[in-house]
Amino acid sequence: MRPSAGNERPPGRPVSGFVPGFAAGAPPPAAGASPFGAAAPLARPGGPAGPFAPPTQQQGPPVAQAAASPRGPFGAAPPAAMGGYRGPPPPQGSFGAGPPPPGPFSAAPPPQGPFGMAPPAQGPFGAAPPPSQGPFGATTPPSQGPIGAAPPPQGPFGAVPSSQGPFGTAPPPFRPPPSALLQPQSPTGNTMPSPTYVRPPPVQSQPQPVQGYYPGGPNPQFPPSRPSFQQPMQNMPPPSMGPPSSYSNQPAYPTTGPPMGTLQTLVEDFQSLSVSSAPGSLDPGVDVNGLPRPLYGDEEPAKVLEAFPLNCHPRYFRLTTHTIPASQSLVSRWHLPLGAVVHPLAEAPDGEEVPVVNFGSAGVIRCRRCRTYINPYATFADAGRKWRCNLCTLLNDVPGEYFCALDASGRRFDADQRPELSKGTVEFVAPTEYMVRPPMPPSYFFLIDVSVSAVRSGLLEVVAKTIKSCLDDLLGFPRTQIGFLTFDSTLHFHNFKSSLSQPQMMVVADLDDVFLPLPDDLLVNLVDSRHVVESFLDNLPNMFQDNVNVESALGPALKAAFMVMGQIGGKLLVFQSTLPSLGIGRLRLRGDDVRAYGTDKEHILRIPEDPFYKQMAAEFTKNQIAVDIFSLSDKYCDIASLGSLAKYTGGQVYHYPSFQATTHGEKLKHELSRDLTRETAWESVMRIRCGKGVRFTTYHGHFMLRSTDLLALPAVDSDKAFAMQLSLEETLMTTQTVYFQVALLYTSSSGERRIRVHTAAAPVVTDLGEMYRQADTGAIVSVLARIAVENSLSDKLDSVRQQLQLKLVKSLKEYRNLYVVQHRIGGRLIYPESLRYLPLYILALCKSLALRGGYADVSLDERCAAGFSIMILPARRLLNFIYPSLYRLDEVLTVEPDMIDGALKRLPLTLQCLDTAGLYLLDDGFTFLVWLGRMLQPELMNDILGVSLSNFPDLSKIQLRECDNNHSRNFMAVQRALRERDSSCYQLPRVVRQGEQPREGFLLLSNLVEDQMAGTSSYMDWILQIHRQTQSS
Amino acid sequence: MVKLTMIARITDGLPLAEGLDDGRDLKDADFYKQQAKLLFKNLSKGQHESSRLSIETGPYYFHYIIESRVCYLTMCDRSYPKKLAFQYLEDLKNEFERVNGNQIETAARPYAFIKFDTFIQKTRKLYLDTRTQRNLAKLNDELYEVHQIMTRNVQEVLGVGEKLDQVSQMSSRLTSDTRMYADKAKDLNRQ
Repeated sequence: MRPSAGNERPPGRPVSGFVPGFAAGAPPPAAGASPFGAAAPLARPGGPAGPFAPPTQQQGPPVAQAAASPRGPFGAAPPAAMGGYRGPPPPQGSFGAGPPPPGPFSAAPPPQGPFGMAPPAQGPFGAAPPPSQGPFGATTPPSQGPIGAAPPPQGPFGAVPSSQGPFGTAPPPFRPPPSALLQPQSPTGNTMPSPTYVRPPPVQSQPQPVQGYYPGGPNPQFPPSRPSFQQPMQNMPPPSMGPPSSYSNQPAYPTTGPPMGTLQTLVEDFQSLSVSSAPGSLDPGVDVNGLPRPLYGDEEPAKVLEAFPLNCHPRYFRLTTHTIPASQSLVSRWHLPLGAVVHPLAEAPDGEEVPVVNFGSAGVIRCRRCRTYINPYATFADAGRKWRCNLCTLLNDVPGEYFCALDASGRRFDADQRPELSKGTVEFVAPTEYMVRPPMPPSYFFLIDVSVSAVRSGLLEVVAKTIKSCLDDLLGFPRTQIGFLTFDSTLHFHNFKSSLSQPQMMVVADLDDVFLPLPDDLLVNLVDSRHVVESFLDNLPNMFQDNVNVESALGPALKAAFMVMGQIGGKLLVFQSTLPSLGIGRLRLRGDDVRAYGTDKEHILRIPEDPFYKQMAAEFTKNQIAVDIFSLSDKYCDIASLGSLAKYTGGQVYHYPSFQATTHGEKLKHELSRDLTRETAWESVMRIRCGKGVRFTTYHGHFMLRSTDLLALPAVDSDKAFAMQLSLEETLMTTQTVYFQVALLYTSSSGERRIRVHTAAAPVVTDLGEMYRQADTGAIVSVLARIAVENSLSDKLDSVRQQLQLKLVKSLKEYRNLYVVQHRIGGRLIYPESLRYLPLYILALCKSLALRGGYADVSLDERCAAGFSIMILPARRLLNFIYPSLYRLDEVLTVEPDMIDGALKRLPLTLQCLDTAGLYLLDDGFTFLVWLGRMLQPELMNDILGVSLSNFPDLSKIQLRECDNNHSRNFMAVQRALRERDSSCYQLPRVVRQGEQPREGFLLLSNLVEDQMAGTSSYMDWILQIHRQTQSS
Repeated sequence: MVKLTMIARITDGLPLAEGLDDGRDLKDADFYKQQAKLLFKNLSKGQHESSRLSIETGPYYFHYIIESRVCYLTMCDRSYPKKLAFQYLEDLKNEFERVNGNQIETAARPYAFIKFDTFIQKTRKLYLDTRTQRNLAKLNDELYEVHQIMTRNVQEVLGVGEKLDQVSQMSSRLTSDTRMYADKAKDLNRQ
């Protein structure tokens, strides 16, 4: 039978244990169920199997049955069992036997645990069928016991495929579709027609998703604690998930404002909870395979949309935890950053274009006091004549043109027709008040270094060709403005007057007092002067062919560029191939001094040496100029200094170490054309408003802060994200929901002034556990990474890494303190399901290019460039950057071309995954690293490389081209498929052979973040280390 | 020579286009732009008597023409020949009407025809130098009569509204005062 949860509650059984949020699942009549609210367990992978197993075994008194049934599922699906539930009190005899002593967790084996004592019939646990016990039985002593005792693999847990460790694994199993859940249950249900309701010990709190690392995948020992958790499961199986009604009664969040979604929503919420409710143990003998690994990349917190359907999509706005702590004391217990990642122009999938709203003569509707834009969370009053601002609660008048009557529930009749009242993301057409000048035309000014190194590396040719090929796609036709300035030890201006047939070059040698040789025609309309520009680009490589000048007057060139484009603004693209050596802003070869590392002076190498660049950047921002730096030097060129130009103007730093046109040309070409043609928002400003009680304090990313909370962004595009941290202004939050609104005022390339508004709501919570449950690893890592990079500018790398580790430890310790007492999970590392990948990501972050090692591990320029990249990367790309994707290709190359995308499976980043007979590809979003195993079939290798290895080709120079064979074609198809997933960067393939030192070391091995490298821990050691630290008090 | 160029719809004062890079060598460009915007606002209130007018402001002149409810306005040096300025505006008008004529009424956002700025820019360059053959010829051309175009002062024009307000205020004060006088007189009578 499948009693419907809510209805069938046996009379007299209080469901007190319920936490509203979870309760949803819990209510089923099954015994003990309610207390556990946590119900979620069902979702466990093992789930389906479990339910069935038990039925057979159970017999006995009704009570027993009840107990049994739940347990059955359990046994089968171990993971599910573990939840951070505290068992309810045994109201009746059933439990009595197994007194609470064990704590929910300790209760493990039916026989012994608290429950164990209980006659089988009684406690839900007691009922556990013998087989099922295996898993639990194993564990007497909570701490280590589990392992030793571990039952044979087949125990309930044993069932779990070893490869996946309970957690390690793939999400899919965790979230079976609802239907799946239901089915398994039915059998159980039948066996026990009338489940008894056993009340577990008093529920102390809501169920908490607790997860642990399980020692071994293969023979998982379940910690004693299990039993307690099982209960939640129990309820579930027989009753199935209750009827919609039962769930819908329960608010998703205790405090949420917006209504909860549909049943569907609830069910999913429910399942995911189940995932989360698993405590685990960590034993010295950790099974490496069982550790959680983010092999599916970033997980957008999509469930937020279910709780708050009116929110903007998480791709635009993500909180580090989708809750707002209600008090300062709660904040102080949340050791991770409290903040958000904003990606205002994230690319939306087809069909989800942002709706555009024009208010016409009514003007943009905004709150009088806090200037919030009208949004779906605004409420209307006074028959529609007033609207209440959801951020500051001020009652505003509705302009006559915008008036609409309200329906019975106080909703406007036209709410569905008006995107601003029904969508979290909209764009408003800005009226004249939002313009200080007419919309600017998109303009591009190129500052190109033509000194000898640029000529020799082939830079000029690639740049000229790429720009020429992009002329048709430049934004803003027909208003686009374009201009060029070349420089070495002098500045070369180019006159592109449309009446000329050839551009005219004018050389200015006075670097101390730069002046413009012409008032006009240095920045020209592309349509009018197209032929002149083309002729310039055709000649550019030849013009400086014989240049032997080694100097570079970047500073004066920047000043000249400023004079040319200061009036209009736009994008300034700087191509720099040497260290600036002349005029203002000259930099010296500070070099990378090994002696500086580990001392207080270490960070100085990573900050701009000359204040000129920051001042220049401030000027640029004021004049709406964004600077992109393309650094293509084979030697040190002080990215730390040059990069500050991009940092304060909303620009980007591209670094091509040892640039050679033959090898890096493709990459530069792709990235330059992306830079020129991606949709860009010009002369923009961004502000984030939030409801009373909270305030954004610090911002991280590339922008210039104008006033305290206004980000000036001369240009911003879909490749840039921003992070910010929040703080509470009041000691106690009085509202139940906090709203956020991101507003980006910008000029589109077509010359329209627009305001893009993203609105989101988050519930205020009083419970730390809920904060952990709603935590968003991607956002947390983004914020942490940016803070760490910023810290590395003022501190030693070593201490930056320690700070990261400390944050992780503190937060896990806090989490542990939430549960450890009740659950006696002494020997295990527990962590919330939502943060299961956090330890690994932090480890990977510490090993990332920006923070890794010390002097010899990464060149200074590369380190700084990686730092600049981290500051702008959106969460998904950042995660892939620090924990790259590794694929085994030799098998994929033989499949049909259209199956390739599906055949690519990510592997853990450890040397153990590399088979010497395999071909692997590592993708970190910037580079493809192709690793050829020593035993790889020579034919395959030859097919792909296009040359025979017997010729001893220089692999560092080799270029992978499509050859006329299936392997090569498929190999190229794989690369294309991976690039299509993210077109913002072009991954340049680099080939390395196993054992080819030192290239293999710094290219591949340093990216295997789970392995032990000089001075760093392996993933397992790291976990042990964290575990030890969380235990010590 | 031409300093600023602006095109606006006079029904509601909505700016439609503006010269690119205007006022680069003008120190107080913003001040004059503001003045021009005020002018548009006044025009949109219907306070304009002629469709062609020159208005002096500081060292410059605003010249404007109004044609099919669109106002073409430019600002030039005092020394710049009026004839050329109006010829310039005529050129703009012809092109603007040709390109955007049918969309002017429906434009809903400011600077809806900002693309026109490249044409403004080009045309402006033609008129920069008064001594080119082309411009000299235009100056000598008597076809275009500018003598009748009135010249007024910017304060005068912008002040029109203010003065009207003042007059109506005064008259209303007069009414209320007379009423008071009548009341008081009545009281006196009773005594």
